[in-house]
Formats: sequence, structure tokens, C-alpha cells
Amino acid sequence: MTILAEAFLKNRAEQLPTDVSDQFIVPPFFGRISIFADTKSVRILGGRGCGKTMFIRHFCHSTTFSPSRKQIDDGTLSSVGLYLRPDTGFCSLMTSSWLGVEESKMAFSHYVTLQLLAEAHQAFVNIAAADLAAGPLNLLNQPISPALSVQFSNEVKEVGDLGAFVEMRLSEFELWVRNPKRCEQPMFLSFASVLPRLAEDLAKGLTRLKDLSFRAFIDEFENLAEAQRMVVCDAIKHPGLRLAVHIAHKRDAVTDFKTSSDERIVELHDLRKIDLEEQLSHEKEFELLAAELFLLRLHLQGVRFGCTVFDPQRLHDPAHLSYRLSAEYRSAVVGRVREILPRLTSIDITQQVMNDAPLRRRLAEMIDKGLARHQLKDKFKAVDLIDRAKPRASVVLGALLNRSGNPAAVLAAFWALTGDKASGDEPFYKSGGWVDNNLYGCLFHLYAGLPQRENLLYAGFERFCQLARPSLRYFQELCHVTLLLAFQRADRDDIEPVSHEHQAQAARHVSDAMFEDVPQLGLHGEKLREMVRRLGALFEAFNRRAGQSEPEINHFSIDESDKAGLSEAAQQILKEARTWSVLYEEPDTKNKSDYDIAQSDWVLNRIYAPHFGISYRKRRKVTLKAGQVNTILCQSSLLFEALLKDIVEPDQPAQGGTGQLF
Amino acid sequence: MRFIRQDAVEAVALASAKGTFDVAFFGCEDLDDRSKFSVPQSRNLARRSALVQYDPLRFELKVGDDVFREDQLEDLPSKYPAASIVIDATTMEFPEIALILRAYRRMVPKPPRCLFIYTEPKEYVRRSPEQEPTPGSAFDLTLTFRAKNAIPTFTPMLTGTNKAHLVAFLGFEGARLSRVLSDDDSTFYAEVTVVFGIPPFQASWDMHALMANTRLIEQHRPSVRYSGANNPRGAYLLLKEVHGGLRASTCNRLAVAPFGTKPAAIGAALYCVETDVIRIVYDHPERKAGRTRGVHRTHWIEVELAG
Repeated sequence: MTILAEAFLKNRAEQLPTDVSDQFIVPPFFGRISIFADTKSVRILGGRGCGKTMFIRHFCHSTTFSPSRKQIDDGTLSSVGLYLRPDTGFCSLMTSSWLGVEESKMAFSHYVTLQLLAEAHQAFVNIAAADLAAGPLNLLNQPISPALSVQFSNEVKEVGDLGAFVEMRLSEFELWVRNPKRCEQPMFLSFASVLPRLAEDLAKGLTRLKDLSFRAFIDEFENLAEAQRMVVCDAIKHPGLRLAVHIAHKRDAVTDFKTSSDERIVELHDLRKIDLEEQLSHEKEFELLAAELFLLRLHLQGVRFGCTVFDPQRLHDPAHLSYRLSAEYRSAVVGRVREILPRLTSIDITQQVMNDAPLRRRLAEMIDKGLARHQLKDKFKAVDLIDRAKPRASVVLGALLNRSGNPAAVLAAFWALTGDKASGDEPFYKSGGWVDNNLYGCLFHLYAGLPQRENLLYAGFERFCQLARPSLRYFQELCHVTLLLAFQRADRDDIEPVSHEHQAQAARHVSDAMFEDVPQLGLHGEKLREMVRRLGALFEAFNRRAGQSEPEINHFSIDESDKAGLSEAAQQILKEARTWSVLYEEPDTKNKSDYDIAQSDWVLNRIYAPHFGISYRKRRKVTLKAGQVNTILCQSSLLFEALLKDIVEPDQPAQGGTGQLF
Repeated sequence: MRFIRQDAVEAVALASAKGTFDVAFFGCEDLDDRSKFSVPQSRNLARRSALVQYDPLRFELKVGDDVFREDQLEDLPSKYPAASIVIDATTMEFPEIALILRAYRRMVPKPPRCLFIYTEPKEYVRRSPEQEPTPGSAFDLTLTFRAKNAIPTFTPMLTGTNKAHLVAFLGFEGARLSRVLSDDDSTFYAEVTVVFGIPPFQASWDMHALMANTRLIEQHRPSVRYSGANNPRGAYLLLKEVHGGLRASTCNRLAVAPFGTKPAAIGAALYCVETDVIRIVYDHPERKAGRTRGVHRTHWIEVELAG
């Protein structure tokens, strides 16, 4: 039985296996980043849902030496990936207040050593079972040197003994950490010396292992205590040929990389950075990856979708990247998913406004309001100004009439139009004219007045990508709900295009759910939720202004000259928001004045746009004073409501596109 | 350990038992109406009393003017010798209850008789409609969550081969368990059971808890169980049952998240102390002053720690 709608269900709640060889899709940016070319450490950045753990696991032993891989090259032995995700609850006991200053650091290093040794042992088990091109390689019976054996209390004679040894030591260690006053302190091991020595021993023993080295990935780095991070940074600062330590954490969650000698890890010099969210932010690349993921999920669910160039086997190996990056492949794969998740253009949606009674009525009310504003209601009727032959101009006219300037020129230009396209230098359809600048904003405004009606501006594969980027998890959520709404629990092995309405409905459902999930994001999740709610309310209020003089405002910047006034609490919330990808800090692209040249834009994660009925396109922003940001982020609801009224009075005369609202 | 008695008691009955216990332990009195009611009642029951506060950053339990490191809890019963103790569960937080219980259950030759006093509020304070409350954050109960710091005594290590079955008692704050599970990403908590307090203290309160955790169930699809909101013994037995069913697989440890009602937390604390091998998952909330209104029933829950 094939429940089509379950194609995206499986991986949502399922535990990620250690072997991801048949799940990992080599991302399009793979060839652009020089990963692990030498022993220099790498810092992998990524928020929730961007595939960080999957990315790391791709480089670890379970995947490298997966049973599903054939004829594995011995070159892989030169960098055996070990994965460590610390038990941060247990690690929180290894602090100076519980174990003592020095003891806590040594204890943490010991913990890391034991965990990495367990991983190394498992790696050797996997290598022994792997299909190596140069023939089988059993390391488990390899002897280890007496010098290293001493460190293991002479309990380990050969590699195969490591598993039992580690298990015993972890058990003793656990008891001591929980009861430091009652149990005997263990003999501490240091991963920075034990792991390289183990590799060295093996390299000396077997020619095939002469280049053996480990690369340890320490995930959740941000959840370690500062002293523990120092222990890891010490190893990064002093890399060896046999061990490289890589770390992974959320963006901006760690900014200071101190070593225990108060030196600091320096980017480029000591380590490289791979920012997965930044890499996935490339629009075209994200689209390709998302389209491939979509088809792969359908394929794994046994659904036929008719795309001959798509070959699931080519997704997992970097060798096929050039094939996947070819224009033909991209066009076929993305094109097929666009057919399944079709979108309406803004022109199509404008036509819908003409044909859909409630939307058309809303446009008429908007125009009516504008006519009343200029005392023109007795001269013109709104219905006469909605012209099916020039729908886009009719929609935009609704906003233009609600502005303060003399409407005579606008009306004259409208009447002079002969159709729904540009002709000469008239102000509606010319490039950069009124339609270009206002149509999307007007459509969002019209839909905002009809909350029960699905906003078709959110439907379509490209728009799903815009809402989700850079999170593949959000994209999968959107697809999951879409398929569920469209096909329910139908048992079928083929797929047909999904309606725009179902997609738009899914976008709203997912957006509502993600908004509801904000409190989960860290210990300050409730504060983040309130921040999202308030920013959403602000942008929503801008969208409610019939004049749409500044349409599609969905991000803000903080006046640079005033930035010092940002309270500590506000800065803390902004930092949390960035860490959890609730807000993105992006370089300013639309500065309107010279003095605030160094500003950055704070963009609300676009996944929340459907919840507030606002635009997901980064078009316009509002520049806020530090005091206003403080109010939005930290002060009472009453003060915020007052500020909101002050900033955006929905029916006030608009400021004629000055962009300076304050 | 055995449950002796559980009753709803009137203030008159509490007054008549004045001074019949040796030591009473209590938490912050100035939190809300019920804390102002409950603490004097609990103190009144004993001849001696002490304020208890746990510091999750220093791993210390402050009892009266004395500070005990968590691995020196054996000093507590000698400072406060008792054949019978009162725990004001209305105001004491889970770690405080669990550590006091541990001190008197495992570190004295003859564990005392133990009485828990728990006073229900009339209502919990909701968020205002302007704050656009979602089902998971409909109530305004907590200022902040202070730390994810573990409680050493109750923190066995979890690894890839020693994973845990997490049993979480749930209340009105939907994000608490979601946060734990999202952070964990199925790394250490291989199985999850959530427990709702049904029957609830008051009609409709069960719905608040269910609504608050709908997203969690949708996202993580845990097993769902029910245990009376006012039934510590039910919570205790439920944990015993789940613990007994752990297979000799990689999921061989039990973890408990006491995010539900206080009586459920009492049952969980008793089971954790009894077995001494369970991982407690706790986020040390800082309760908001005035989080509840009014005083409803008061419960007398008595157990024999010995045996």
C-alpha cells in the first residue's frame, strides 16, 4: 500500500541513522567549498532543519564504510570521521563548582576521549566489514604499543579490546562525576594525545594505514560550557597530522573561541568555516536541492512521477555533481516539481481578483475609500474603475487613489490605458512603474481583508522555496501538509498537479504551526514568540494601509546613529533570534540615506509570512530607532500597542513614498 | 516505601494536627494566593521548619541557613533530625522535593514518615488576548527557565548504546517537553511516553493540557498515557511499569520529565529516589508571581519512606 501523503512523513520523527549513504543528497555547493583538504579544523554552522547533522554524518565512518558502498578506496583511511554529540545534560555536571576547576576540564577531556575511542572502535568494526577495493582489512587484532597500553592501564592489548575497555571506563567515570566525593577519581585520558597515538600505532603496523588519521566532529558545540569549549579549542589550536577536530554549532551561538591559555582561535588561520545556511540561501541551488529532495521522497515512497533524467543513485556521490548541475538536468528536475506544485503569476492572480466576487468586492471597497478620501464619490463609481481589460492597473489604482496627492493625473493615466500591458512611457506598466512597484503589495492587502480565503500568492514550488529557504525541514513540512490536503490518505503510486488552493492552505497551516513552535526555541522561546508576534503585527499593520505607499514591508533595520541606545535585553533577544533563525541579519540592500550606510537588515524568517498574511519578498523595510526596537522586543504589550499606533496608522494619509516614516 | 494516606483536608483538620511532625520544609511563600495559604499550614504542622531552595548552577541545596552540596546530603538529616517530615509540595520545586526525599530515604538508618501538603489553586492566570496566545502558551506561568543544568544525583550518562525511554508528565506549558525533544533530535531519548493528568483537578483542565501539547504529539508521536492529576501513586506505578518493561536493548535507561501536576511530580520523585538510577530532565523554571489565583482544595499525601 502506498500512501502518497506519507512520502514526507517518515523522516520527520525518525531518528537519523548513522549511515546516511542512501539519504544524503550531495548539495550543489559541495564543489565550491574546500572541505577537509588538509588537517585544518572546520567550523560547520547551521540552524535547525538545515541538514547539519546529515552533512556531518556523511563524513563519518558509518557512511564512509557503509555496507552499501562497493570497492571503497583505501584513501578513505586517511581521514576516518568520528562523530561525537555530547550528552549535554551529563556534561553540565563537569563544571568547576561541582568537580573543581582543573578536574572539570580534565574530566571533560576524558569524557571526549572515551567517546571518541568508542567511535574509533566502531569505525574499525565497520572497516573490517567494508568492501575495500584493496581487499579486506581487519584492524581489530592489531596490537597497540606498550606506551599506549599504559594509558589504558594495560587492559588493552589489541584494537579489538577497546570496546570493552571504554565501556568499563565510562561506567566508572559516570559514577565519579555524579559522586565526586564518594568515588575514586579516574585516571584521566586526553583525546589530543590518545587518538593520534592510536593512529600512529596502527600506521606503523600496517602499510595500508600509513596515512591513517581521525577527524573528530563535535556537534552541539554551543551547548558546552565555556571551559569545555576551551578544551576543544586547545586541540583546534594545535592540530596534528593524525587528528583534526571539527566543530558544529548554530550560527552566532558561539562567538568567542578562547583556548585555555587565553589565546583565541582565529578564522582562516586556525580553522575554516562552512556556513550551511548561507550556502543554502542561494536561490537557484536551494530550488534544485529542494526539487531533488521532493522527487527522492516520492521515489522512496514508490510513487511514479515521470522524470527520466532524475536518478536517485546519483544524488549521493559528489562524482555526479556536475551532471546534476547541468542546465538540462536542472531544468527537467525543477520543471517537473513546478508542474506538480504549480503557481499562479501575479497577472493570473489579478485575473482571479476580477473573477472572484469577494476579492473583487474588496477591491471595489478599496477604490471607494480612495474616492471618498478625495470627495470624488459622487463623480465616479468604484465598479466603473475596475476594468477587466486592464486588471493589474485596476488593482493598483485602489492603492493610488488612497494616497494624498491629486488623483486627477492617476485617473487620467488609467483611462488612457488601452490594455493590460506597457505602451510607451505611461506610468502604470512601464518598467519600474506603478504596477511593478505596487501590484504584489496590493494583492497582499486585498487578501489580508479576507482571512478565510486562501492567499494564492503563497502557492507554488518557487514560493515554497522562498518561504522555507534555507531550511529543508520547513520545505518538507510544506510538502507534507500539501500532499496530505490534496491526496489525504489515498493509496496511489502516481501523482498529479496539486491545486493552488491546497498549496496556499498548506502554507498557512505550516506557518501557523511554526509560529506556535517558537516557544520551543531555546530557554527564551517565549520571548522570541512575543517578538515574532509583535513584528508580525507591525508588518501586518503596514499591509493594512490602503494607500500601500510602502508596500511589502517585512523587515527592519536599526538606525545606526542610534544603535547605542539598544538595551542589553534587546540585544540578547536579537542574538537569540539570530541563533534560532527566527530573524536573519542580512547586509542592507536598500539604504535610502548616506548616514546609515553600515546598517543591516533584520528579516523575519519568511516561514511566518503566511501566518501574518504579509509578503515573503524582501522589498521594503522600516527603519526603527533603538528606543522603538527596545519597546518591540522588551516592553509591555500596552507600550507596544501605543508604539504600533504611532508608527502605523492604517488609514492615515500616506507619506508619498518617502520611506522615512519616523 | 509505601503510600499510607491521601485525603483532601480542611484548614480545621490541619490546625488540629499542629506540631505533630518534627520538621517542615517549604518553598517561596510570596508567590501567589495558595502559597501564602499553604506555607503557614505546613509550618504549623511541625515543631521546626526551614525554607528550601535549590541552586542549579552551584548544585547546592540551601535549607534554612545551611548550604549542602548535593554530594553532602547526608549532613542534612543530622542537622534536621526527624522521625516525621512535612514537605510543602505547593511551593517546593521538583529538585528540592527529590533531594530532601533522597536525604531522608537513603542517608539515614531509619527513614521518617513523610507528609506532602499540596494546595490547588482556584485558577491559573491566562495570557491576555492581545498577546495572541497559542494553545501551547495560553497560560502565563513562568518568568524564565533558568538553566538546563542537570541534577547530579539524578543524571546517569546517556550514550549511543545507553539511550533512555523518556516519560514526561505534561501540564499547561507545551514548549517545555518540545524543547527537550527538539534539542535531542532522538539522539538520547529513543522512546517517549507522555502522561496527561486525567482525571484533572477541575473539569476542562485536562483539555488545556491536551491542547497545549497537540503540536508535540503531532511532531514527535509519543505514546500517550493517563494518570490522575491528583494521583502520586498512579504516577509512581506508571513509572515502575515502564521501567520494568525496558528491554535489554540500547534503550535501557529511564528518564523522567516532571512537567505535569505536583502530585505527579511527587510520585515521580518518590520513584526516582527509590530506584536511584533514573535520569531527571528538568529546566528549573522561575515561577511568575501571581501565576495562580485563589485557594481550592488542600491535599494530605502521606507515605512511609522506610521499607
